[in-house]
Amino acid sequence: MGKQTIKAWSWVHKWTSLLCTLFLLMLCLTGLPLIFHDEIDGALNPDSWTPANPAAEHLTLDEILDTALESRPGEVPIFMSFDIERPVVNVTSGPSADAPGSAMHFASFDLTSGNLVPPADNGESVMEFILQLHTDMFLGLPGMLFLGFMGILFALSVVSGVVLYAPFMRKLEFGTVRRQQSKRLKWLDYHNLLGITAVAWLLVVGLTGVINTLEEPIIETWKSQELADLVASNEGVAASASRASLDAAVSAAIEEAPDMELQFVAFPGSGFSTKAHYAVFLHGRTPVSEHVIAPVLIHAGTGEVAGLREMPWYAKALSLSRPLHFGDYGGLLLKLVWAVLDLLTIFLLVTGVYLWLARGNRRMRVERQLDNGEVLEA
Amino acid sequence: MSASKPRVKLSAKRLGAIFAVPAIAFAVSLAGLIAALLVEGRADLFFAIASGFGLIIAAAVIFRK
Repeated sequence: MGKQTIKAWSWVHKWTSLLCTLFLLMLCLTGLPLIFHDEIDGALNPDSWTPANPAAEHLTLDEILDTALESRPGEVPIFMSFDIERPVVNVTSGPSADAPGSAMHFASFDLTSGNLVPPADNGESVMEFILQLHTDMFLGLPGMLFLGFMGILFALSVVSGVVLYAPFMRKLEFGTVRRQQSKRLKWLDYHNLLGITAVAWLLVVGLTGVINTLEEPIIETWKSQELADLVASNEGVAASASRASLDAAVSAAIEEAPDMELQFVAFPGSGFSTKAHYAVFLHGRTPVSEHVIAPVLIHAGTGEVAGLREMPWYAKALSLSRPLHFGDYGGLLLKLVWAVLDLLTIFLLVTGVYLWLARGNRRMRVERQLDNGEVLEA
Repeated sequence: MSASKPRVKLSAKRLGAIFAVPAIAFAVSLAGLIAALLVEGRADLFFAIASGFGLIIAAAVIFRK
């Protein structure tokens, strides 16, 4: 590896790292509680709710929807989702189907009685604040894309770090930490050792984070390309006054894909459907396919099935990148591993800044060594 | 004067030695991360440990010394 090549990689490593450090630090600090969001929610909201009539036959989805809209006059349904372990249906409504999140209203209903289920929202505002800060820094799409760019810089800093690892370790055994020499050398060795052993996780979490920041463009592309024919055929169609049965729509959707399970329903005009269709989202039953969802589009006025539209590869990549980024797919031990690696990343960021600040006269020494062909002998 | 540029010569053997442990850590961690997504049940425990294999190596090196 030539002197100029090493200098170029050093430049890449230095500047990609420095530019993203502050934002990565924020992402690591906010990401830490997000890893344990289920446990935190569970601890703050012990589940004492029980269904009113456990033995009773469940109400229909149409009945629940009517009940939900009666209590929100003037609003339209946006989403309907389903608790996995409780007979509870969640209805999101708003002044219009494309209302922003801040204008949406979320309520949960007992499937056995239609009663409202008390919200389990202790600590929710704090977790939502943390999630929003982590996702887009309260800046919407520009914030997401900016953080995505920071993620690309981070991935570049990891790759350049791997490239530079070879000349750094030229005369050292793996795992060498020179504790007896300068303080800077000691932290440099720790930085290199911990960085090189965590490369796989750093790249996976960094790159899936970048994919996640593209969520809005990905969904828009899916709608404008894969669903273009449906959207085009319904352009200008006013929302149908008569609503086809939601239960029939869900049953028809499940008939289309009997090997899949119901996940949620997006109502006409919402971000995940067209102006004229219910989009009934199903997910697979296997560990892999449960993260991949597919919508069955059903005309909301006539109940006619428009067909199952498999998500394109880029939307599937988005679905798989979510669990791989948050680490909430493999039990508590995996979450603990995630947390330790998150803390390790903070250590790498802090030591990286320290090594840069403490470079001082060493830069001249390194340049002299470079001139002598003794590259990066620390 | 000759145009010979200063170079850090790293033989394939030396490069292999430098990256041997990091490459194993990378492969095992990546396999663990992906396998934990593909398989459910008790194997999750095993794959979680595999995901943190790099941490185990680093800890072993640091505490050994």
